[in-house]
Amino acid sequence: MRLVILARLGYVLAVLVAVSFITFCLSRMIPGDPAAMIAGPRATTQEIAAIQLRLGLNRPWPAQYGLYLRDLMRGDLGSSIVTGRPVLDDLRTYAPATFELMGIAFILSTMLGVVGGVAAAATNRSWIDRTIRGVVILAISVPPFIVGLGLLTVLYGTLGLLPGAGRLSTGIEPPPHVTGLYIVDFLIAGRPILAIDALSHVALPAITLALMSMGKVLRLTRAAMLESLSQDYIRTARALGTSEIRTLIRHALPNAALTIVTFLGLELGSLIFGSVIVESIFSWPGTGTYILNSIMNLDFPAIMAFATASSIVYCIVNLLIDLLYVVIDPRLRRS
Amino acid sequence: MAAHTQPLWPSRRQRGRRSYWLTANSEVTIGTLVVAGIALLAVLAPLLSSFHPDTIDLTSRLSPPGARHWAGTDELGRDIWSRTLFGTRLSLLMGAGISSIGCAVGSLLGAAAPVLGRWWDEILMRAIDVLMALPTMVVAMALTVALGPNLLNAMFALGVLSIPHFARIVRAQTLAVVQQEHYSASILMGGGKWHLLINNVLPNIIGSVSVLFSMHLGTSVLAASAVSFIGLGAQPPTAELGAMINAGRAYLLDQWWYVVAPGVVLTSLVCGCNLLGDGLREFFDPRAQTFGVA
Repeated sequence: MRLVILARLGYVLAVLVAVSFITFCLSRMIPGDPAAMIAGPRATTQEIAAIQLRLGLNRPWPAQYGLYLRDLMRGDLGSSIVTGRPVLDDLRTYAPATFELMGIAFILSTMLGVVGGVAAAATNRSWIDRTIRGVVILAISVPPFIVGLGLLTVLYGTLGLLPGAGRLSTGIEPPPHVTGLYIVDFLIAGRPILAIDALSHVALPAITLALMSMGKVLRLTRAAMLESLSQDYIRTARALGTSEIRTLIRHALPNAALTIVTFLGLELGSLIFGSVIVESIFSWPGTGTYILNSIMNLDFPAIMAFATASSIVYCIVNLLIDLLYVVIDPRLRRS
Repeated sequence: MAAHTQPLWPSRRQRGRRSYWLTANSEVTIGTLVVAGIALLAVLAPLLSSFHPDTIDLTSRLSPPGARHWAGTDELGRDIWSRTLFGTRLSLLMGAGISSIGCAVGSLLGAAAPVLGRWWDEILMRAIDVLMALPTMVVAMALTVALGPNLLNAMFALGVLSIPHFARIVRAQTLAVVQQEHYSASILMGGGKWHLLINNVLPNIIGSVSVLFSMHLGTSVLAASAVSFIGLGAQPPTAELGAMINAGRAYLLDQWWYVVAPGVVLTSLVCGCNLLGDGLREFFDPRAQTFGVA
């Protein structure tokens, strides 16, 4: 067992090195001379040359890649041209808002997707299954920005049910910083009413983001459940008189869980991209909005650092999910 | 992913007693009609629109739908219906372009690797593993920025990043072909790699590849419009559906018609593509339900 985990770790390390090489190539593809960009428009040739020397830009590319890796290890992803601060600091400032949004969206989409998928598989080819699949086609097909704009217009603009922008109502002070997640921080500070205000602000963007991946989760859960339900042990369970609900939840679902959990990890990638779209629609002050501003200002170091950081997070999360297999699947524990 | 080894294009015998006619599948019928209808709108765009998509008319800025501009006008007085039609052209071309790049290169790699031998296969699989380990859309975004934000570069970036998706599935299909007797017979008769690829592998996977392509089209159209929406694809004044919806956001609450025409067309287009892809998959292999999700 330990050997499996070690092999997996070595494998992920190799993938991370390859990924870092790709992001290195990306960051070197930027048009123009990075040194000239940092030095500003009025710099002299000597000043630019000095910056080139400092950044190692005059060295051959393997050496540059070495420097890049060293900086990466130190957590130095370069500085933003617009804010002048290290990009990692900027990202750290905005990340809690995005985590809050993505966390709630993730919970919503997983719950809806898994419950819907199990229901669709249990009622395979009946009208319930057909209805659910119709909803899935819609959820997958309607572009997330149209869903977002639609929710914004109806629930905020016309009905005024939910707030449409920002993390808190105007006049409410953010809670003392503990986790950076406002809902959690308000609860820690013992102010549940303000936590509800924060929750109502996150509702629309989180629903939009959740709908974006819910369809895919549901579809996959349905397929995995159908596969699992066609196995012999299900027939045995039914023959032994196990109730249908118990067969589904206790016998079929755990065997479908591996596929579902793997997919949820892969879905993180589309959640990261989705957060860029959703945050821009709902003026949510997270990393997505930050990156959108960077795109508008052509702040190359910030965009590349964001891509690098999210690639690394993505790899690590998927590694953790691989390790989670052992918890989910008792067969893996024994081997 | 055991399901990936199942044939997408089973023989008539494997299909059993299911209807032989594609039209018996309502998803395929509706999807085809919607996609064909929108494609027709796109092709006939110059005939169906009475204004040039970029003609500015400041006297009729943001006018609501009426007799003259029946989908209204935008903040520069441009006719939204004309812009939607021409934008649909771009969205369709972008989607087809992305899927074509991914499908052509990916299928070729996926089919060639098992034929060329173990080493090539190993190298290809490791490369795919690395590309699969990346958050695709985020990297596509960064690649587009690095190349310079415009439509062609966005298409290229999204196309390149969809290669692993095709390569992986086509490789699995090819591995099944390589096991078959006609393949061994071809080798015994002295067939070269190229001959094997063209005469033994290709005819056996071309059906699956075309289904894969159609299943990917909706994803591509959606991705292209999303990239334009965040300002990386089509640049002003080019009319593109995602870019138009982005521009119309500011007027959403008062001038709702700005986003309605492009929104409805884009949604129907993606819906049609997905219905078609889903239906084809269901028709050709009712068991392989996991396709196109990952």
